[in-house]
Amino acid sequence: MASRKLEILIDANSLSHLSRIEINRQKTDKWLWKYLQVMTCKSVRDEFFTKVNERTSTERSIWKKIDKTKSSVISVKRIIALEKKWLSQDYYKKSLKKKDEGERHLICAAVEVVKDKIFSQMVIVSDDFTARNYFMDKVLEDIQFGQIWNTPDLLSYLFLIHDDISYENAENAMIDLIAIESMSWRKFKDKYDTQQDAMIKMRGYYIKKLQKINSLKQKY
Amino acid sequence: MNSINWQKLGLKKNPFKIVPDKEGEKLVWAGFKENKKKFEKIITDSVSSNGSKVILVVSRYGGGKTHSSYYFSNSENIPNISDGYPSPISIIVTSPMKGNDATGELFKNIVEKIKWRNIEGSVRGLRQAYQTDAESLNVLESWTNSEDLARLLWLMGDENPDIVFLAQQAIFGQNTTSLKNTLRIRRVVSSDTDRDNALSGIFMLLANYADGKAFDTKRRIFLWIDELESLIYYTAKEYRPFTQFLRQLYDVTPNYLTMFLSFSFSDPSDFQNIEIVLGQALMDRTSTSIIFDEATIEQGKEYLSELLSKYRNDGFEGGKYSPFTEDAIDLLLERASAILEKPITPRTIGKLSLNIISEAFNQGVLYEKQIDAKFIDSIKFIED
Repeated sequence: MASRKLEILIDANSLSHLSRIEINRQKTDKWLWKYLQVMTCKSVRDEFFTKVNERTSTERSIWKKIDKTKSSVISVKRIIALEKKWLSQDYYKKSLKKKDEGERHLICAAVEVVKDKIFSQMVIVSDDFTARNYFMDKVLEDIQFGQIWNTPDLLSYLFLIHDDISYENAENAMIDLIAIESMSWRKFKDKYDTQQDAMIKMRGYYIKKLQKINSLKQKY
Repeated sequence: MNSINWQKLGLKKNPFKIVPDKEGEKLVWAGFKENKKKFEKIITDSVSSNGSKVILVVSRYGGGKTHSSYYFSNSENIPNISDGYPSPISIIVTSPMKGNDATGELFKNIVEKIKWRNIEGSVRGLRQAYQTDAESLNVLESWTNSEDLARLLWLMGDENPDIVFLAQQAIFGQNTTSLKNTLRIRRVVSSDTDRDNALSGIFMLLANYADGKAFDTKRRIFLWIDELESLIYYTAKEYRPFTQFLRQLYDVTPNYLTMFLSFSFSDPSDFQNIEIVLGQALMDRTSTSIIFDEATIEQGKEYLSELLSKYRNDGFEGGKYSPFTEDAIDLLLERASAILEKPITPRTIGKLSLNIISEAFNQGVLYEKQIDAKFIDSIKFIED
């Protein structure tokens, strides 16, 4: 059976969040490509390089890898046309400025590679709750070209698929991921909740998810 | 600038403090009788029995956890302690906001709250209670599980203040060869296990010899650790040693310690999520939980009337909700959540009551008549 890696299109802040966790004592630039076919779009790559001095050494290693690996920056032709003719008319009603450009381009790139049958479907990884809430999730509701995950979803998936990731390792990584201050916890915020309440609920939700996956793995 | 004249409202002073007054003797308890009874029972049981306990106190923000710790730290507020039981010692600390060296910070905070002079006094009490140094050292060794830690604590009762100062530095982890040579110890307090054992020794000293006196009945130590929800910001590498530290502190102190773990959460009865943050090992050691949930309107009314009554001027004959009418209180509590965008807790009730009184004061009508529902209805609330 083919051991094909999951193809993901990832945004800048998800990469930044993933750079803060270790799996099996390996830094992200080591484990990310081991488990996944990591891709992004040119605007996300460029966005990173405008802030290169603010990045940690692990983030810089990740981006060096993206820069060096030809297949990491997805090769598509219709991003700009799709963005103008389709996305901005049907889903993204604000003017097309730099803000959200990475997320807009990831959506357009994913549509193109699935429509042109380069990939059967695409997983977009984004921790940008505002962009997801504004337009990304709506696009996916209407057009099934794949899924949008946040980084804890991605980590849950990796734990399911890879037996070399122990439960303890996955749990530690999840705790570290959700403790990151810029992690988007707003999906878990109920009326009157504080940021801490939402973060506690988010951690509870994903740790329970890992426990369920662990139960499946033990019985598999 | 003019300020509100509380006397004119029949009150001794402002009853609506937003942040708990940390001087225990000034605190009052209003309403929420069930929780007060629970605390009183835990405290009474703790004082009259030896075994250590872990109590979990959960509430929404502003629900009354910190207030409870300061209220029950005043021995006058502790109910029915039978003759012969000395008043407990309360130590109130806050969980470090940052996870980096959180156990080190918590350890130092606890020791500093106890105060060096109290530790020194109890060591002197211990040394006087035994005829030889070897005997008192043996007792300390049995409490700390370490010859060096026992000697360090023992030196806290030395007559030479320079030696006492060096011992304090070693307890806080200062590790130099000359310090160790002078104190004749091989190691200082450095690991989390050392810190647990040192604290356990200190608690036993306080339980047995607080104020330099030996007690027939041991004194109880109440350790209140506030804001444990901060653990959500810790990474796994920071979080695991911290919860392990608390767990081990309980395990190495089998007697005389009652740990109150305070946790703020919007769903206080969701123990699954609380356990995911505090860890199963700590939760398994919890014997009792006290939950402050959102107040009902009836609980809110009871809280307000009792709070106001505690601050009343002698001989006051106005209504129990004065300076409010009862219909004003009903409306205030009905709208509190929507206005402040927070659940009804003692803090939100107090904050809104104070806002309304301030508004009446600013409009120049505060002393003219009682604040009624019509007045509250007329206010345009802008939440800060």
